Amino acid sequence: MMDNNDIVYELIVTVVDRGFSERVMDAAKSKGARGGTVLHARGTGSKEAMQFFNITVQQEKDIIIIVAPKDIRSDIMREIAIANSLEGGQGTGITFSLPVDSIVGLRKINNAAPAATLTDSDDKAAEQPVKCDAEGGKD
Amino acid sequence: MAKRGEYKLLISILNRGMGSEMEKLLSARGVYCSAVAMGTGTAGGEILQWLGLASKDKDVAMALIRGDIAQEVMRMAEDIFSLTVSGSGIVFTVPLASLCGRKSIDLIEGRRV
Repeated sequence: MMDNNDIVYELIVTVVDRGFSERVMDAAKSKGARGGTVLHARGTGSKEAMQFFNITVQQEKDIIIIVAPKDIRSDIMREIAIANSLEGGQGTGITFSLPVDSIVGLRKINNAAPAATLTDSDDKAAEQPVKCDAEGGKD
Repeated sequence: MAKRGEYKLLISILNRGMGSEMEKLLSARGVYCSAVAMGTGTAGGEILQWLGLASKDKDVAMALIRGDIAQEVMRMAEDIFSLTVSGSGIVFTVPLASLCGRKSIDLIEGRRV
């Protein structure tokens, strides 16, 4: 069984109203997130769902999923929450995290410049693939 | 009730069009409880995006799988999709804390429901 100490990455999930995903990503990248993926969804069971002529209008949502190292997860989530509380709370939603116990395909940058400052001009030779599994930690 | 870690949620974020290939890989390994959603990536160099050369469309494949085959499926995906190449995609697992219903377990185990 996976020990919590072995978890290196976490999955941050943020659900906001459609159109506010960029604000979430800007906040996340400012605290070290390298990127994320936006999924489109529909809110259900919302009190804000309105009915017009017996047709229920569901609120459009964006779900942003970000894989981030555990040590910066809290900073990212806090920054997302702060960003979402601006502009009168427009587009606010929820943010939560899930543990990731195995991952392949991430690339680790040696000598740890904060990931948020990396650009395409950075030295690609410094990159190494990282494979983390439940048993052996990082390869 | 299934024990924690016995089943996992496998999430694959791949370039658009690869979701169907991931479903083939999963079904070849006896995993039938899966779905593919369309997503949009947010990473990537600004210069490439400005030039219109960065492809941001993604397929997000999600599957419920047994924990004992998770590593094998991930290694297969790593080989097939060349995940060690930067930008090809990522595959990761999240442990399920709970699972409800006998039919859910049968579906994940690949038994006829």
